Amino acid sequence: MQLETAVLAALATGLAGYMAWDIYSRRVLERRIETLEKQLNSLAAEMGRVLKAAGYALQSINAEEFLEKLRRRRRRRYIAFIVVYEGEQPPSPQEVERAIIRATERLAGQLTVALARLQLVYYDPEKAAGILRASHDTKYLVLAALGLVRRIGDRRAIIIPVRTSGTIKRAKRALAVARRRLP
Amino acid sequence: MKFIDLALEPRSLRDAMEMASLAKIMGYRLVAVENNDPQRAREYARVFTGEGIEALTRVTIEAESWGKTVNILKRIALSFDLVAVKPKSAEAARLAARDPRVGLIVLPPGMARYMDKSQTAMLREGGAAIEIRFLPLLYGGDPRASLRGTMIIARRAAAYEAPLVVTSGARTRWEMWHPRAVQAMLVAFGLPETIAKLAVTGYPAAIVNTKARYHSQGREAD
Repeated sequence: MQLETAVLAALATGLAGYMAWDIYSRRVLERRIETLEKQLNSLAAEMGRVLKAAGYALQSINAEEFLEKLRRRRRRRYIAFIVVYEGEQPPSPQEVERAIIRATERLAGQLTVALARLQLVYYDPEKAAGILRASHDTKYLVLAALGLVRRIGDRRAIIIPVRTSGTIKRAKRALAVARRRLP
Repeated sequence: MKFIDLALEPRSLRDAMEMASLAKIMGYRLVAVENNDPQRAREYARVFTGEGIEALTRVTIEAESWGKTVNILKRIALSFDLVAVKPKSAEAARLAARDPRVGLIVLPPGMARYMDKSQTAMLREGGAAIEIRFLPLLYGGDPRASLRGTMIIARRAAAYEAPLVVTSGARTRWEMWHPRAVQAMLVAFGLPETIAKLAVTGYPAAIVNTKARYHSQGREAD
């Protein structure tokens, strides 16, 4: 009788131990799973950030390519012109450029001046002849603005457009021919 | 290319000489010289002819009512090569366009409303053209007035396919316009390049061929 009781007690202890171990191992497993979940979540967040950054990088690459295309498409035009002025002293290049920019601004606004990238690339003060660079899409606006220039500095003057060309070389050649024809 | 400016108004012989030399540099082959005195107009025209530029004489009549204008037209039309009418009313604008003696209808920027479909029909009937002067553009002012008015007349004329002649109306050489700048301004207004080119070449040439010839025939008949 005593033996049976002892066996039963041992069995009960064993079962209790087994159950305790089982509960413990489950908790450990749950904790591990939680840790793994946390790690996976942080990894997913990290991946999301990486993907976002990669997206931005791709976007900027696309934007760069687009801008490059635009840059390539932005063709230039060279407008050769002669200045007819009042008095003996021909106007200085700064005065001529200022007058042209002011006239373009008056006709088409500052945005056009910025888009046209207006620049006096060549000017011969002795012959009062020069070459103006503009973008090809604002060519007509710049030519029309040249017609509005009636004063350079303090003196009356007119700008006569000689030729519009795609290269500075051809513009210079046209200028030379025009100067030869002048009286 | 034959560039034509059908309105130059030199105030003196000196101005005429300066304008003639600049017109030659600019590449004009034909001009019309305006003066109320036919004798003086012819004198100024001779200065241009001396520079190798064909020159006509012209007069502009301001018309409030067509009844009075017809009488003036009868009196002075034969003294000039070309007659332009500056209408002050819609009736004058319509009837002037139909008159075979009138070559040009001058529309100032404030009269854009007269440039419509019926005006175009009248212009076709009489063979006249609409004239726009670029002189007001030089003196700035409110862009809603001069620039916008000029632009609307040009656009409407192009839309209705009416012949359009652009002139400078210059009184001194400093007010003259280069034909390429005129063309560019019209393109900037939104007109097709071909019409912009015709406004300083083909259309004025057609007016000179039909209307100036009409006057010379009239003179010969007299």
